[in-house]
Amino acid sequence: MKLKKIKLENIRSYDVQEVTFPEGSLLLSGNIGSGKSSILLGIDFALFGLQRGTLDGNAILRNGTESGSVELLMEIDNKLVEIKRNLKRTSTGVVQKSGHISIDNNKQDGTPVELKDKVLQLLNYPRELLTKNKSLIYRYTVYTPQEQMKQILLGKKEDRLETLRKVFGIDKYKRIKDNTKVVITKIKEKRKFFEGETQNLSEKESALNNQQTELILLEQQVKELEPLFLLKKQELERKQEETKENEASLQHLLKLKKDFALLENNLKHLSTKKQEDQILLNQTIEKIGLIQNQDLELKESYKELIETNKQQIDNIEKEIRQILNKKQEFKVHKANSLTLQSKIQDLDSCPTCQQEVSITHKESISRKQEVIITEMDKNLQELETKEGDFNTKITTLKQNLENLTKREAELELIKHKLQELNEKKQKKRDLEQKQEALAKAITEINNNKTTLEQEINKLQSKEELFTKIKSEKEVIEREFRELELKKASLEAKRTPLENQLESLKKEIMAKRNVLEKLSHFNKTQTMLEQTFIPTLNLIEKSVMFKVHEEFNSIFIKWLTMLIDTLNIGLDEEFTPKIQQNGYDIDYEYLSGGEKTAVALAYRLALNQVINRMMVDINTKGLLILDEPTDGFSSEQLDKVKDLINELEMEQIVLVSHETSVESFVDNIVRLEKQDHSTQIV
Amino acid sequence: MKFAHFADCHIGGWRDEKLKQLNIQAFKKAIQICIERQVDFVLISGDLFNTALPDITYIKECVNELKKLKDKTIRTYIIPGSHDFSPSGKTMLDVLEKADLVTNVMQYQDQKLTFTQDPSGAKIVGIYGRKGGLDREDYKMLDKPALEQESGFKIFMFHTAINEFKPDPHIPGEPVTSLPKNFQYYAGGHIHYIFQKKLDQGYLTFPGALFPNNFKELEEWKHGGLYICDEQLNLEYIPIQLKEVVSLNLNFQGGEPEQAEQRIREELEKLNTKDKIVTVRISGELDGKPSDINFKKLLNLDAYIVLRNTAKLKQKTTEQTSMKEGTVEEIEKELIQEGKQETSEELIATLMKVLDKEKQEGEKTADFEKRITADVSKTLYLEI
Repeated sequence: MKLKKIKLENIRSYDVQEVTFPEGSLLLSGNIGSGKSSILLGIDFALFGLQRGTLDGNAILRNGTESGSVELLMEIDNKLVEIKRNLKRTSTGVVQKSGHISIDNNKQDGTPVELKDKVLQLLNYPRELLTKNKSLIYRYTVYTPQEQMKQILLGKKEDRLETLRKVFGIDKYKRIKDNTKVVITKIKEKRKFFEGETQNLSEKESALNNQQTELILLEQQVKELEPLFLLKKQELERKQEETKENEASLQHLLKLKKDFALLENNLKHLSTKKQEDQILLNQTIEKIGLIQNQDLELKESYKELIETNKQQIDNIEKEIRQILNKKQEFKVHKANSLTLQSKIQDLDSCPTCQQEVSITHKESISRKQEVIITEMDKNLQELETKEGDFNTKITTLKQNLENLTKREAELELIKHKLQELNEKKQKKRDLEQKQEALAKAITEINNNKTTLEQEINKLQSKEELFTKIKSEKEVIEREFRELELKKASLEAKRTPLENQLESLKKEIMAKRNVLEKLSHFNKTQTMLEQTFIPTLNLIEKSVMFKVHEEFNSIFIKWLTMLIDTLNIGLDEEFTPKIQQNGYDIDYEYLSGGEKTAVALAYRLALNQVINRMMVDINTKGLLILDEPTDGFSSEQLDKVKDLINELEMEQIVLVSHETSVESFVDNIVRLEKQDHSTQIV
Repeated sequence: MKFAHFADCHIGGWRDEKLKQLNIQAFKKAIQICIERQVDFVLISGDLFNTALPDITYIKECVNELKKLKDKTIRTYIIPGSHDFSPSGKTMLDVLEKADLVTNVMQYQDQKLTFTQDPSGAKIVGIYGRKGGLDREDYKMLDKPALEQESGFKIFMFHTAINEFKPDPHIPGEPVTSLPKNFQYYAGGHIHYIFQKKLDQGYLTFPGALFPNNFKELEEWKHGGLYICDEQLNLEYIPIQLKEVVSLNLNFQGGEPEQAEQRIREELEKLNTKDKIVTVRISGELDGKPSDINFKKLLNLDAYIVLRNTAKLKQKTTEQTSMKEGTVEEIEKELIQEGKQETSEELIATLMKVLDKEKQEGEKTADFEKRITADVSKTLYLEI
């Protein structure tokens, strides 16, 4: 990149001013505050726009103006590029407006970000810088604001190292490693899951083997059992046939035997019956004899006499009851009279009329009552006599009745015995007839039995044969059932075993697939941990080493040109390690000129290392140095001349208020501030 | 006749103010000794100052001391050294000479070096010292026969190493044959070591620096000094020690910076450092970064001053990293090729590309990790 021309309009101390940049070295000369650095800021702004924290719109736009712009003409990669950016003051501050970029007269409007994107493309800077506020490469190769270089040396070493890592692009290795670690963590998580999935694979495989062996064994057993089973089946069929053949004869025999048993049973029953009847017959005959030996004369009945006797007794008892009633009545009358007699004697006044009862009256009454009592005693006497007569009569009658009743009962008994005798005789006849019939039936049965017995005897051998065959059949049948059971049991085992095997095979296959994945994950993790990261470490170390070595040697080269009293190198963290008189000195203890020298050498070394590393960037020929000689002695200023010559840059823009610098450069632009406005003089 | 000989005062040479003071103190002490020992003259064999134009403060101090000698009619003879010589002639020595405080004995007459005669009878001549052996031509041009033929007590002042006697073969110097013969005293300077040797009928001496001029000299010599000599060539070396120097020299072979720091602390505790110059030299290799050692805190001792040298303290590298040539891309490619085992170069290169991603603004960490993982999954055929 070569700067051709810049036009500043309302930028800092400039109203409208064009500055042309010739080839070779150019000095922007002028007193402090004359607007030299503003041109550099203008270039920075034209290229990258406002940058938060480092290039603020309020700091660029000229005070008291509403808008401003910068137009920069340059040559990049043999293309003529013109870029214009605009600034506008608003109520909230100074903002960037859209501008344009023209490449070989091909003009394109663009937003500030689009313009920056285009510039980065043209400069061939890494694209990720688009989103970053600071364009580190530009900052450390082309233009570093005066105060920033010392800042990087004075700041924290961690910050410096971090910035340098970014500038050199070495941070990408850390970024890659960090991201790799994220991926490794994910892989580990997945591996853990896979390991869990495949943990019991060997158990499953061993189970599969066992089950396969078991199945083979089972099939072998079934195979071995099959001929035995068939043989037994045939044997059983034969035996069944044989059994069937003998079955009819056996059934006949059985029927005969049944009939025979029935006959025997009947015979037994009849014989028993006959014997019982015989006993009954004998008893009947005996009883008939006993009855016939008694006096069984039938006389007239006593029933009428008994009834008459009973009637008489009733009548007399009725009379007696009447006498007793009368007796009771007379006794009551007598008792009342006696009571009255007794009462009247003790009575003084009438209870009804309260008149005194006279003795006469008392006696009169007593006499009356005496009469009654006498009469009652007489009546009672009479009745006692009557009662006595009746009681005698009744006793006689009752004795008579008892005799009559007894005779009547004896008569009844004879009647009954006679009837029983008749019945027994009839029974005897019946029994005799039954005996006869039974004897006949028994004879018949015995005859039948004999016939059957003969027949049974004939068939008896068949039964034995059949029993033997049946027994044999049963043995065969049992054996067959056992075989059948065994076979069924084996076959019953086979199906679930086969199902289990099938599912186990599927499971194992799935687990093996997982195992393959696990192996791939393991290999990948190993590759990442043992090859990729170590390779990155090696690359990082090598790049860092190369950068360090180059940086160090260039830094020493430039610094030695400026100061020869210090022994300086860079430590592993790119911190200048300064020694004088053989001992370590910290940067802050250096003099102002020495600090500037170290910062300048550091800055130039950075420029050269970055340019060497990033071969494709298009800013390699340009270097802008802002007050690079601040605090230098005249001797050191002389050395700066040699240094600038050594740099061999296509274009160097120097900003300095040192007049002696004018002698080092090919071209000079003198700036002067007049009436608050910078002019080229 | 009695004279003192010293060299390499390097006034203004130390950066540190305390050491600068000690340096000038040593000069003052030397002057005091010269006066006390009532020498006739003093020889300063180069590098009175550390630069041709030293700081005015030290010039003042120096002039004051030289004035004391002059007041006692003790003459001071000098030659410019490699530090205080200026080809342009802009050197403070000229000023001192113009003030008649010193005499530069490198005097040419008709392009020939001529003797300076001291009232004591001694004839003194010398050649300045120049950096990078630029004085070699002067030795070549030396009209030795003329100098050798001169009679009397002759002193030759020089500021260079003598090859046959120099302590380090790498220091540029002159062969002893470059020196003119038949001198009674060869007053050397430039090489900071105490050395004396009989040469011909005389002595060749190097008194070393008047005050150790750097860290190594403090460690090695602990002090500076001067020679007193008489016409019978009775030589006496008088050391000048203003502060005791204690040195700690530790070499680490591995270990973390914290461990090293602890070890240094322990070793320092064993030393009596009160009001002494302490030099701490730490070298070797550490497993971590040497810059992680907090020297500022560690060396905050009760000493007069503590100086450290960690120039040879490095971070241990596990394997020898060889310097690779080429751009970053070329280095990457070369190392991937070198390091490849079962993994293909393309895969490593692709992985580097795939994994070289940054979390976007507003992107959640989980989403970023998901994005990275998904990209790597595609590349490595993993179902993460």
